[in-house]
Amino acid sequence: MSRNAKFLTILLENEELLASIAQESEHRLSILKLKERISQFNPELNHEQIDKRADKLISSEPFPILQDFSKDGDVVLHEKITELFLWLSNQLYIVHDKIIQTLVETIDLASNEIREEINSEGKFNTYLISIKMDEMFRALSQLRNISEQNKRAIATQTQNLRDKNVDYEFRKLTAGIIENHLEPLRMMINDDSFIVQVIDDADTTLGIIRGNSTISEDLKSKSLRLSKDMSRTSTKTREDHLSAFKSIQPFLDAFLKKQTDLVVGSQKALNIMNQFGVKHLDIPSRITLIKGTRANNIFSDLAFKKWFIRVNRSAEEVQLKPISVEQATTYVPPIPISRLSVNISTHSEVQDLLIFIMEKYPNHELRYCIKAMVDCMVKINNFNRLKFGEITPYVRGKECLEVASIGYER
Amino acid sequence: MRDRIGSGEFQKLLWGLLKGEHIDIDSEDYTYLEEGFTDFQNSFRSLGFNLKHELGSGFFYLQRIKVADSTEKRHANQISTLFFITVQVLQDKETSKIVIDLPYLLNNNGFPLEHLLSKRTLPNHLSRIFNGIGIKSDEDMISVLTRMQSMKMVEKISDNGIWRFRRGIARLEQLARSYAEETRGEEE
Repeated sequence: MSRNAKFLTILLENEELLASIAQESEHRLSILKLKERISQFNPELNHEQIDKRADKLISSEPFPILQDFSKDGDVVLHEKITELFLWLSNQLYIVHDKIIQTLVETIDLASNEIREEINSEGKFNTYLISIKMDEMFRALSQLRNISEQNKRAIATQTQNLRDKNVDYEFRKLTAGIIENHLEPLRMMINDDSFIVQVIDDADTTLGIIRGNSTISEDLKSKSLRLSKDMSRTSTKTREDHLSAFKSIQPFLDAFLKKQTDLVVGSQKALNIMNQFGVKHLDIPSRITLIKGTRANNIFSDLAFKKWFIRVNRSAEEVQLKPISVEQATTYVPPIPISRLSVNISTHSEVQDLLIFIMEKYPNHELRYCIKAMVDCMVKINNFNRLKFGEITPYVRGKECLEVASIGYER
Repeated sequence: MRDRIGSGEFQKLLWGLLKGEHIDIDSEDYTYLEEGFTDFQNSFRSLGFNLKHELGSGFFYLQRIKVADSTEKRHANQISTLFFITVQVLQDKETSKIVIDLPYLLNNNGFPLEHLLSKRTLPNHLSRIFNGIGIKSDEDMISVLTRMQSMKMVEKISDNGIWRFRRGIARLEQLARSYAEETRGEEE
């Protein structure tokens, strides 16, 4: 947060407190009373926090909001603070309600004087009535100008409040000052407001002039013009202010509405990010968890799949399968191909190789004998010595095969 | 419980929690987790996670005991930033005196987040923050929202970019409030 923004934030936080000090004589207060006031305006603060807030007001920059006179233990509101508010207030170019009120009072006074003159027992002074009517014309003209100026000024302030390039704190402070300006103006343009009552009364007075047969036609016609002018001015003043309020109100509300800790915290987080980067936020990284497969993941997708398979299997009911001792199969050693090929080679002739192997290994299944025969043929590696015969059936147990017989001849 | 553990339903729930889902009170699994909380807590702890129950806001989520890696940190930063910016945008947009708090965010009608957070409508200073965190286009922004949807923190409720927040967002709201408390602590 910039120094100016910080300064404005302190001002905003202590607006009520500073206003109360401004009402003290010489804008002066003892430190003890200052702390009492802080506690009154902020009942949620503890002693330590109250001390810190007082220190913050005394040590604010670019200048101390409260000047500390350590000799007598008093603090004084810095004169620049009132100047600042006045300056900001003037910068708005919104005409103060008190000026409008003075003008309306001028109309009221003139109207009352005219009525008194008409109601006087003697011959009334038409010249005086005419002068008072001129005063009313002037006041009405000024009112219309003020109305126009306020309309423009409020429109400009609306734009300023929308301007994102201006510090948020400054806009908030301005919104507060505008709101203070507009509040009495709002009261002034109500249907039953002071303006409406004065205009109604003055209109009645002007009606009396027009109804009086002793008054000249010129004055009557002037009265009619004034009456129309008053009605026009009253309508314009109210309409201009109403439309201006309508345009600025949403932005004022946005700044003046209560900010929750959620909004304040989000703003603070975004400010930190803007100034120092996201690393300074220290967001708990545990907001997210694993996402798919990652090289350094503590649990890979595969590990989880296996885990699930294991969990599912443990949940399955194990079906016991009966084991019968009678059906146990005996161990059959493999046929030694090298030795068998040498044996075959030593014979000058073997009529049928498969029969030869089957006789030699009676306990082996037919498929093992066929495999051994092929392996031996490969081992002997001499195609010319093989002799192919006719189709012959070979049977062992449930297995049977019908192929051409193969013999060996050296 | 054992029947459910063996079923695909439990796998789905566990996967969801591990992927960062927030099982809120609107979910059927909420009661299931609530009933077996102690058993689940022990199992998850042995796997290196804490099963957290946000009783007030009404949701469960997992939290890893071990420190996360950089990808995870980046995702966490993106999700949090998107949330902070959303709060700011809603605060600026909301012209009436309505207070922006958790109940406001949990409004069932949702918010046009895709429009509000689009590069076209976002103010420059917020758009710059998005860029800095790696959300450089509207597609990136939608992918962060989609990631949040997979965590059940938000839900897309219409094709024209309307999303609603879910209870799990309370974690981010707490995070934002923690910065406000820090500020107050520093200043007071």
